Amino acid sequence: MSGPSPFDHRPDPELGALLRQALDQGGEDAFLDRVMAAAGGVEAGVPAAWQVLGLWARHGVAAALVGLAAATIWWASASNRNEAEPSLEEVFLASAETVAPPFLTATTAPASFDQVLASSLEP
Amino acid sequence: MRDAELAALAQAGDREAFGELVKRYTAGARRVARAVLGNPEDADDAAQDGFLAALRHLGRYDPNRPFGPWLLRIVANAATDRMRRRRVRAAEVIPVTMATGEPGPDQEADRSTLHEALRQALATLPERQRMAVVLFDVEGYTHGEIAEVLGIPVGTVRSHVFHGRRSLRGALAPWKDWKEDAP
Repeated sequence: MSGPSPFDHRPDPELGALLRQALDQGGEDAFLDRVMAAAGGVEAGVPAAWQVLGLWARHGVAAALVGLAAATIWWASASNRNEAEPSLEEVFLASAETVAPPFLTATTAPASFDQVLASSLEP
Repeated sequence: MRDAELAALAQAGDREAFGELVKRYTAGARRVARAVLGNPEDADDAAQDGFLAALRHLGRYDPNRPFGPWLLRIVANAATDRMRRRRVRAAEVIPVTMATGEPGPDQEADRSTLHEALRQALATLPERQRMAVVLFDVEGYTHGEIAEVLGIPVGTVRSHVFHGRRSLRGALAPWKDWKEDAP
């Protein structure tokens, strides 16, 4: 097989002719008849049922993945919101415990200087 | 009539138009399928699958583009699918030899030997290289069209054609030397 280089950008007629002869198998008319007979049960432009189902399945899986992703994002943001925003009751309880000792908030009279000083020195 | 017109008619249900398309592309489709599968019966099954799939999907064909590469892509995929299924189920060895016809005169036998050697050499190539060489050197498609058929970059097609040709020429070189030495 001398002749053109493998780099040649043009078809190699010698190799092409040899390959053509080696791959040709004859019986084209019989093959044509066979294809046309099989095509009798096929509607042009209409994919087979399993192909349609396959397409639907693909879309279904894609939709399910999108839904799952959206649900995950919503759930994650909802839990963050719950953590970031405590309830009103929790705020009151927390502030009551840390800012104002009960004896300061329970009395109606203003606290004396000694009481305030003592509460601030308590561990 | 142009391929695109035949395709439009075939899509509208004109079986003669579809038959004309099949007739135009039968030889090429069978060769490509045989390059992939080796076995002529499997190749015909794959080529038929390809034609029927093309008929079902004619609505997806863009009439502004050449019909041949579009069709051959479907046929090549059908052949590749069949090859994959065969690999999965094949506990048996896939024969690369395809004896055809009866022994004839010497010249006929020589040609048969050459074809056999070429088929065997072709069978040793990776699938894409096989298809690239056949589509380029036998079917006359351009690198760009083959890239479309195989769904790979043009540069990769060039590389496949180069390596495929080199392997085939290497495999056939001893055979040709023998032919030239023969009286």
